[in-house]
Amino acid sequence: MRGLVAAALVALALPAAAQAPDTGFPPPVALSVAQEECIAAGQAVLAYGYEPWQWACGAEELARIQEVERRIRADCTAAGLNTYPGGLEGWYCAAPTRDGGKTCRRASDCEGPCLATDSGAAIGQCGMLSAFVGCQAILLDDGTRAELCVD
Amino acid sequence: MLTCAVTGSGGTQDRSPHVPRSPEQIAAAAIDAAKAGAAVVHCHVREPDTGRPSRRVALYREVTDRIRAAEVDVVLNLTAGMGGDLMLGGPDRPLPPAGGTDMASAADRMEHVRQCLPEITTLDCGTMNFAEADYVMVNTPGMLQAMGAEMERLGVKPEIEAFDTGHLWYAKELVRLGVLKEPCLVQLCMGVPWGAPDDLNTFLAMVNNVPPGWTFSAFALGRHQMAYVAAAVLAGGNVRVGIEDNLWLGKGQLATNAQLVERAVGIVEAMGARVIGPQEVRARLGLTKRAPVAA
Repeated sequence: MRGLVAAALVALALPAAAQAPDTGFPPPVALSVAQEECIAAGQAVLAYGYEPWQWACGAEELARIQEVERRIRADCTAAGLNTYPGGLEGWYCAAPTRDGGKTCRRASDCEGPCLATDSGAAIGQCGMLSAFVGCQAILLDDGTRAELCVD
Repeated sequence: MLTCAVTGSGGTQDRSPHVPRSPEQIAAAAIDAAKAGAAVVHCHVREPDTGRPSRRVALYREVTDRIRAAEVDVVLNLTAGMGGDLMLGGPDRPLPPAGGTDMASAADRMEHVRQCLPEITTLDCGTMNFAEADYVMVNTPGMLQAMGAEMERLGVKPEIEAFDTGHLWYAKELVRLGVLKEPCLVQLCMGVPWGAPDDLNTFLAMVNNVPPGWTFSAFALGRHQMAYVAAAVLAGGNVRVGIEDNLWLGKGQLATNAQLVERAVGIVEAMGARVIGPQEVRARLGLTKRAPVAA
């Protein structure tokens, strides 16, 4: 859905004159310079994930990336952790916590992060997972509040 | 160019004795179709005992070997449509997927193509509902990119199956991304529920969106199959008939593949057009006839 919205926004942002006259379809999303260079070199732009930066130039590079991803996922599973959707790569490695939702005042109160519940208050709730991705207000070991962004 | 789709993967095996099941029957039907005038045969495979659709490489291999060994020349088009079959569990509990689900990797979906090296293979260019409550034909952009790139790498011509307008749109995107090489070959698949309906307005919308220089063919399901032979010729395209798309020659008369081809040839020639042979198809589309990879 996010991709659809993004594509629609791109389509709306472009002037009518930029629309391809032969199809009647909305114009395609512009390729990056790197993608154009890849195509010019005779390779194909191959997506391996949902995000616009998740692409490989050619089948060999795609296979290498997928192999690395398989290895990382296997390491994650071997360590007793799970994969969850989110982050720059579309997934991340974490484990459910036993104290998720418990009130916390500092990081050491939780197995995972102590997530600040509202702005200004030095109080939070323990995260349901051992890690998070995206930007989140957390309480540090000394109880101070910080904004942390994790890819 | 006349393509005969000889068996398909629909649940038609018990609705007509002429639906070929075993590799021997499928190859025989393809050879008979070629003798009747088909320059291209589009083949799926089925489990010989039950007739259920299959994607076992050994079955494709036997079909290929039998057709290649025949005295009649024909362009071989093997489906790569199998392995993207998702059967959800129903409106109340869609997950986990139900029995009948077959979601394979791009490599697995292409293994028979890699081994059999047909001149043409199909790329179903999108995800779509069919006339089954909880079945989805799944072909994500990532899957299509991987399969399309592999087809080009193998030197097997992709036939883009456009079941709806968006599929044709995405085919152009595959060209833009460098996955598919122009000029492309497109099959306009009309009247497949719930893709593009087979009314002429929709058909012309599809035809008008085929880029200049591409080759297109068209077919419709069921009783409109022969009408669409005429429509496709009139629109400047090529034609496809066969038991995959239609079981009937007329009211109460089950057809063989060869009979459907003979009738289509008659329509094409009666319209003043010419049915071309396999060598001319290869020359026009830049195809190379190759032997399968040694076992």
